[in-house]
Amino acid sequence: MSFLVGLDLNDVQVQTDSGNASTTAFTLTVASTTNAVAAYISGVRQLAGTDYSVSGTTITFTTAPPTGTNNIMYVYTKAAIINTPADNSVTSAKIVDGTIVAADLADNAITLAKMAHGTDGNLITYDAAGAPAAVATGNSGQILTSGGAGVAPTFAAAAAGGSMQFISTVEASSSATIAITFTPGDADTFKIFCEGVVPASDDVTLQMEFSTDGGSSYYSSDYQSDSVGRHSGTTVAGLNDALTIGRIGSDSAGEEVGSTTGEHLNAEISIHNPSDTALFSMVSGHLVAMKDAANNIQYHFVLNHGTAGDIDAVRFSFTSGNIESGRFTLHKITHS
Amino acid sequence: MARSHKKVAADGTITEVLFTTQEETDRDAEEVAVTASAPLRLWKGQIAATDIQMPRISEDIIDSMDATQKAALPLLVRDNHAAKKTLRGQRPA
Repeated sequence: MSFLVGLDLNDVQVQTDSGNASTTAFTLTVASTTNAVAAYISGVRQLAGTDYSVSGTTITFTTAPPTGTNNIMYVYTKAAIINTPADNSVTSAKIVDGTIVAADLADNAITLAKMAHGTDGNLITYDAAGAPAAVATGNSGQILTSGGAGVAPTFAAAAAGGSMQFISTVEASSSATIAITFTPGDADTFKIFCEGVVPASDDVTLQMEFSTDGGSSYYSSDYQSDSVGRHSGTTVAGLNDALTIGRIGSDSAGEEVGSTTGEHLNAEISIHNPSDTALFSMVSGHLVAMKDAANNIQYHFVLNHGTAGDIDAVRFSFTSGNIESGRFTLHKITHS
Repeated sequence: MARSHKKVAADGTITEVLFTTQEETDRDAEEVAVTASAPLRLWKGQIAATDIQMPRISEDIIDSMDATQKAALPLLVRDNHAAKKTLRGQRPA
């Protein structure tokens, strides 16, 4: 950045030369320009640009001045002085407000710290005039919704519609039981995914109990289960009535889940009509498991309780031993 | 090691609650019962597996036949019936 600085009296030069009727070019003490030099020959002012011209420190006359001592005089100023301010020395006060333009800024140079602070949770958009504008923070759980072309987006409640939503998850860790509580009215159906469930004891069956009091107690009789499955290429049917605890799949010895390294079970369980107190409590699902290294088993099953009522908690266990490990994840399914 | 219930509430909060003395006693009894019933449960699985070759209704019909009628049955049917009767006779208490 350069600046033209003002002149003072010290910048005015007076100089004389002596003509010899042949020399046309003379040397100025300091550089100047044609129009900044007033040249006189024997006291007569010469016409700048016609009678003489100046380039740097050389003044050249069209006609050689006549012979004389100090008969040539120049009165002139130095050429304009261009100074460069030191790095980082130009303060904001030296810059006219509002004159910095986009071209003065390098691309990819504005950091977040340089932006004016705003409201926590707001987003930046553009208004109808194309100017930056804030999208107001919505309420918790709302989603950003486009208003279409020419309209700023807003935070709004998600459109009504059926959905499947995660509720909770828990991992067994040498747990005798895994109990999962939920709010029956929150869903049409609850889904529980049992993933990588490993029993501590070999050859056991997964059990499931229902509660109507948030898990404070569980039905201890009148469970009915039925299943059909395949085990080692053989169709297996299991029907159990009047159980004191619900069982998922066949409880026939030799058709159960193993606990040796790598053996485990996975299940997808639906809890139907959880809030309906007029219907029998019922769950259904599909279970697959490794019985041993060479054999898998699979069951499609249904389990109900012989009393009509809601379900607000379920509890899992094995027929013997703890649930060594595995994840139980609850989702809810709602209609539109 | 003491047994415990691992519970996840509707809001996702997880707690672990030790079995009460009574629950420990009840669970011990359940596991003993499961172990004791293993032979019977194994037998149920085996007898169910024979239903493909010899359903219970066929078994009952053949049971009702006299020796002449049974002798007229194909050998494979008679063998399946005999195998099932043998297995049925091995039912654990």
